[in-house]
Amino acid sequence: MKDSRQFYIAATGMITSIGYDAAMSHAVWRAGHSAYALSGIGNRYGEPVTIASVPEQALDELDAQISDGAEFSALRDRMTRMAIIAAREVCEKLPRKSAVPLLMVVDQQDIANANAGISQDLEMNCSPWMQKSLSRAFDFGRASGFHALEFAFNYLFDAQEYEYLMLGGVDSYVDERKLAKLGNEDRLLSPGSQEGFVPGEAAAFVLLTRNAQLAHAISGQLVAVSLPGIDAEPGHLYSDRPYLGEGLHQAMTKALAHAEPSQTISRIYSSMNGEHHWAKELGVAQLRHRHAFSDNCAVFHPADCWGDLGAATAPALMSLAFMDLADCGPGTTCLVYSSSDDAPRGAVVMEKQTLGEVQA
Amino acid sequence: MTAAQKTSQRPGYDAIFERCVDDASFLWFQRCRALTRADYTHRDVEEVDRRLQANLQVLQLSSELSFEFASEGYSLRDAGYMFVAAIQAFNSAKATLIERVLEDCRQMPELRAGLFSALGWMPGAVVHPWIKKFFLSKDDYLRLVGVASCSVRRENPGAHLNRLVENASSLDDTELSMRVCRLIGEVKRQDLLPVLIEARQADGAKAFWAHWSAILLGDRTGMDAFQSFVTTESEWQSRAIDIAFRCLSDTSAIRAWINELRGKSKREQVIKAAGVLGDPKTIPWLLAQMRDGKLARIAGEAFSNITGIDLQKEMLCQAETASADEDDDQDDSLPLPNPTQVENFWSAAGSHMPAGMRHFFGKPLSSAHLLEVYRTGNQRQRKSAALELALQSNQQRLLNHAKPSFI
Repeated sequence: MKDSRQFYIAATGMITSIGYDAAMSHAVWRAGHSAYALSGIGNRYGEPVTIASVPEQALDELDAQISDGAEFSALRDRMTRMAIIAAREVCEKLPRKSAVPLLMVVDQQDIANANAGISQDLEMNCSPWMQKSLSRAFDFGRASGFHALEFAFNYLFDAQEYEYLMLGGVDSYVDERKLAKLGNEDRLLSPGSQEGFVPGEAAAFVLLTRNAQLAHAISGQLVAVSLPGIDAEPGHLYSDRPYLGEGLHQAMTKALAHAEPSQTISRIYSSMNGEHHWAKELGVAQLRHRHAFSDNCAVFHPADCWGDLGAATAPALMSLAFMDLADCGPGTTCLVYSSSDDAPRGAVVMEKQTLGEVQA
Repeated sequence: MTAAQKTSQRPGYDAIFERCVDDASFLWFQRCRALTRADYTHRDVEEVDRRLQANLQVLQLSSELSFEFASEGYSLRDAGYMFVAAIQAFNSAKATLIERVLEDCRQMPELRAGLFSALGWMPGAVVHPWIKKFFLSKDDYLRLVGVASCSVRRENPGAHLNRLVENASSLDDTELSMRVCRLIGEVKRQDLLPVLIEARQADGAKAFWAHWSAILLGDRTGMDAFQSFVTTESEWQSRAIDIAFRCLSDTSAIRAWINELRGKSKREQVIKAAGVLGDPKTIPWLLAQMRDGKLARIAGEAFSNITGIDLQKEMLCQAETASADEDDDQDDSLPLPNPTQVENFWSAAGSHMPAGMRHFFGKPLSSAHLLEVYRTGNQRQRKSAALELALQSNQQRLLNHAKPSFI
């Protein structure tokens, strides 16, 4: 059933292996360049693993105060720096110096750090826009962003005191512990294994507003985000049950029902990372919803340029879709979805609308 | 300042900008090559353009750094890097960068193709103020840049061109005068036909382009003098054949020109002339030429030009053998016909085409048909269609088949 509530995108910020900011990440992705590079880290067969990492220089030269916390963690330090760079890009675009609620999506293994550390460091370095007391963390893997977005619809949409809210995600696979685990599962791309994925890292932030007047409009065109569809895949990667693609199918069903888009969907932004099962999952879901997609619907999977972004996937894909829609005609509709390694699945419909229509 | 000394506002990402400079330069080269090849359609070139433009959009995020990377490339006399550098310079609107590319192209003429192409690539709002300045300059080299820009853009510079041709000393510069003559024809400046008639008295390139443009303007009074360009081997011969045999209408003149061409030039040029002429009467002779391995491809092209029969689509080609010769011969992009199959196909399907009448891709010449070929054909076919269209009407400018698809 259609849900008339919509957020509009006011700004995006992003740092990825292919760009220091959202504009660069988008432009480099469109140009088809990837940041894939053989790393010095080997898998269990001693083969070098391909990764897509943010350049060290970008993180080293960041002018920021970062707390060490109870115990120094290189991974947390790395993620914090990325989060500050991306968050600052968005904060600079905010017209007023007042705090914005932050829904932060982080690595599942790092939820405690995120709550305590990254939020605090964001407050220190992105003041006055970021406040730890106004932040909340989510940890459902790649699909977390949609859980955070659903939370925003459920609990913040009617909160009149805030004109904006920030949906952010940060994650990094550039960590020996994580790579070792994935390597042991033979999930990483290496010269001897073409079935694996490329670990990446990124921070991505999307500034949302329910007030169309505050949205980022180009020639009177803005991008609306509908209530996402959330579901769970019983036969996920670490489950013994058969993998039937039910979770993504249901997530898409809900997302499409919430949005009831005026046009068929012509673009899909996917979290597919090169592992074959993700393509099968999309194939099943797309086939079951074939009426909702245009015949020449394009599927984009930017992990082939910037690697798998883990928890940062959903906000990064939403940012990319937002920037892509700028070049599309009015009414162009896209679907953004993410699938986690475990059960969570999430999807959302984004539509280009004219300011006049929205106000009417 | 070198690229190494200059860093972007995005620390750590310089390598990506450098890669985009290299890719854009390579894609420009690939595009130039595609424009004369039979195995590239308009759609294929559009795809190359899209990729090239996507790389240029990345570079726009850091124009100065990208310029430095590109200038390192063009210092090795690679016009592709000059294309990239010029785009960065003009988009940045920084006079120092623009002066640098202009001066470097003055010193290294082999880079000018990249500069001129860049001036055709960018939107008018970016380049028009500069083109105007170039026309108003007293420097012949800058005037040349202005004229060449209008030429690739197929834009009529109006009174600026009049002022240029009125200044007789300007036309002493061979390259400038050659380009002026060419532009007059391309944009159909009928009022400047007298300039061309005078320039036809000169030698070499200037005379060739004066003849070529006068023909485009509909003036056939110089055809006798033009005959030597058609029949004598030179750098202009192919272009001369390409335009001359589209204009000759008198049967005895055609026979005389062909006979002279046969006597003085390689058979390859005679085959090309037959293809341009478009008379189905030449088909039996073209079929015989297909049996000569070295001439088979161009004979096949001439056959297709007349009949409109797509050799590949009709499966009339023979298997390609790997060639040890890696030369970038544009004729290699043509399909290799199977003479026996083509002969059989022609005897079954080709008898309806009346001999003694010009045909262009299977049909008598009409604007609608020419526009259709221009829209859907491969790059060589599109170029021919543009020339035919320009010759059909005194008002129709010569369409530029090399124009970027997004403009």
